[in-house]
Amino acid sequence: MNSPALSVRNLLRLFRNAAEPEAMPVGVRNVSLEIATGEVVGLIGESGCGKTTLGRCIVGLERPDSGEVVVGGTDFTALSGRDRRAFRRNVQVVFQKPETSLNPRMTVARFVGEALANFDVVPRGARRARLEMLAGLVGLNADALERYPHQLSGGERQRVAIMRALASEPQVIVLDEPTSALDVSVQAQVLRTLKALQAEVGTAMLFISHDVAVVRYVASRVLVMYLGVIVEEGPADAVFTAPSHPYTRALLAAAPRLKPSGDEAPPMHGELDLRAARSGECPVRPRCPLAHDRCREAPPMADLGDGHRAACWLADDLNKQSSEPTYREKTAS
Amino acid sequence: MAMASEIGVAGEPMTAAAKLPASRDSSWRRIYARVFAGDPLGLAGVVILAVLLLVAAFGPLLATHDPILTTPDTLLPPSGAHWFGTDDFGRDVFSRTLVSLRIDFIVASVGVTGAILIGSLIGLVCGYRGGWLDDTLMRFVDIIQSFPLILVAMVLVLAIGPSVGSIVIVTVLINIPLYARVIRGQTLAVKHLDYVDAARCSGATELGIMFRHVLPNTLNPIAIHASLNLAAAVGNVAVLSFLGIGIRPPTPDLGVMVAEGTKFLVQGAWWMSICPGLILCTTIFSLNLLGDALESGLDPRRQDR
Repeated sequence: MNSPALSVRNLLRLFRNAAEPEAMPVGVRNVSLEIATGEVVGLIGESGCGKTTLGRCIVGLERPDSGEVVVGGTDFTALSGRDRRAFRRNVQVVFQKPETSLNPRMTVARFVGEALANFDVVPRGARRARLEMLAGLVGLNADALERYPHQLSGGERQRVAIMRALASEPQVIVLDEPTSALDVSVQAQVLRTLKALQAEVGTAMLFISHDVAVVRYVASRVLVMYLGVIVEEGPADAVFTAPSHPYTRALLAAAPRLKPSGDEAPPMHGELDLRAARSGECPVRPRCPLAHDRCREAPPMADLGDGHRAACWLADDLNKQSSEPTYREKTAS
Repeated sequence: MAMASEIGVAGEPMTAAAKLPASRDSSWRRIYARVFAGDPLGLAGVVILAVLLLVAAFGPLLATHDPILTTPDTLLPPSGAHWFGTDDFGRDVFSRTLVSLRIDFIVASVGVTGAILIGSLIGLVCGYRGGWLDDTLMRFVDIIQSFPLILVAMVLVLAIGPSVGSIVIVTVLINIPLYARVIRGQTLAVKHLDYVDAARCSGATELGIMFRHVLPNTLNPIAIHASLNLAAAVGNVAVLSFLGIGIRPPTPDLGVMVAEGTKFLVQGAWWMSICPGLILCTTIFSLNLLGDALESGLDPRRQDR
């Protein structure tokens, strides 16, 4: 892998709950990750696991407590003021909710045009042509440029949001559940557009989602997050066919499929409970069906080869078990 | 482009939308339909207000007599020649009423406009920046609000003398808190929306975000507040003039006319107070009707009526 488009090092951002000082603070704990140019990395995890916070720290909408966000050799977190504003050009974001992702008082052309003007991407005279090019890229008609958000459908609005993110020609785009608020059919269209864009533009993307199927469709590499830490990561094929962390297995087993085999991996106990989690031990322990004494000590990342890693004492065994043909047959959708 | 074929499906709803006229005209018609359809009182308010505004605009042209010319025909009751009768100086009350409408409207609307501008700015800055600036400015707003109107007016009039200008300043000052609070609340709600973050990622400066992305999206409730507030302001100007700390005679003003007329009520010259008083009531009433119609028509929670 040549130098990555994005590299996040030991990113820490915690939110303490003043009402419950005993509970584990939520957020992101010392997460490190790298995304190569042209790579789409999926980040999955349930609500409240810190995936949105991680995304907001990467795009500079949130200041991390510590750690680095390095894009093209520059640490974004070290910049401030004018430099920081100018640097935003390199890291863009697409949000989840189509109803609030666009300014209701601005036409598409003005809203997206701001990025072109602020970063001086193209000379003034060429902006209109660039807007039309961008509209075509995300699958919008040129006449949508003069519309206000209320005149667009949810899918069209998300296309505009993607168009805005592309306008500054970023090196990295963080997509925070860009399709989860859309109808399934529209979701499929937007995902297809994203995939085509990927082939055409080649921007690195971090695709955040709680939808396993969606990540499986777009991402070539996957990160699984639980309570602020990455518990498993690896090539999408490896993670999805041979999940080696109990949490990943439960997450995949919980994903709806057409033909349930009836004996998927054992589910997690209960819901994410911050009061049960203790720092220093494995964060999944209170809910893990395979938890045992050793889990009172946080497990290291076990290397399973080919970039596939899982933070579990049993990772090797689980990996072997998942790789067995019988297990694969049962979980294949 | 390679994607064009894929986009065909997504393009369908768009072409349907393209047939909708996207002009300003349609949005005005939509507002009209939402605010006044099925609301005859609101419509009546608008019609009355329009008539009064026309009168205010063309008052001096419509006046049948010179509003400040004193004549020997004092205290004449309403008749064909003097529709609202004459006052103790023999001046035509109808002509004076027409002329005063203009000054009262101007004072009230300049005052309210000033309050909207300054109040919105304070609310925007407080809501957006927060912190010590918010605390300081909002305490200042609290202090303004805690003074009774009459006290503020009297102090100001003592300081800068009774004039149209001082009434405008009083009107601005006492209405600042309303707009500061409304806009501050709206700003707090808007500033965390995704499009504000998106604009930040688009490289917008803090000022650009405040004035292009936050402020325009906080202004919706202003129309409702402004029309109700204008009614109160017209009343307040009249009250201050009535008390002698506002517009001074001989400048014709509804409040002054009502005040002067009261001295002659016991003699049976009712028209001097009652006629301009009724016009004042009608003005305030029509503004209130408009405000109520806007409130129920534009409030999204009440759209399903």
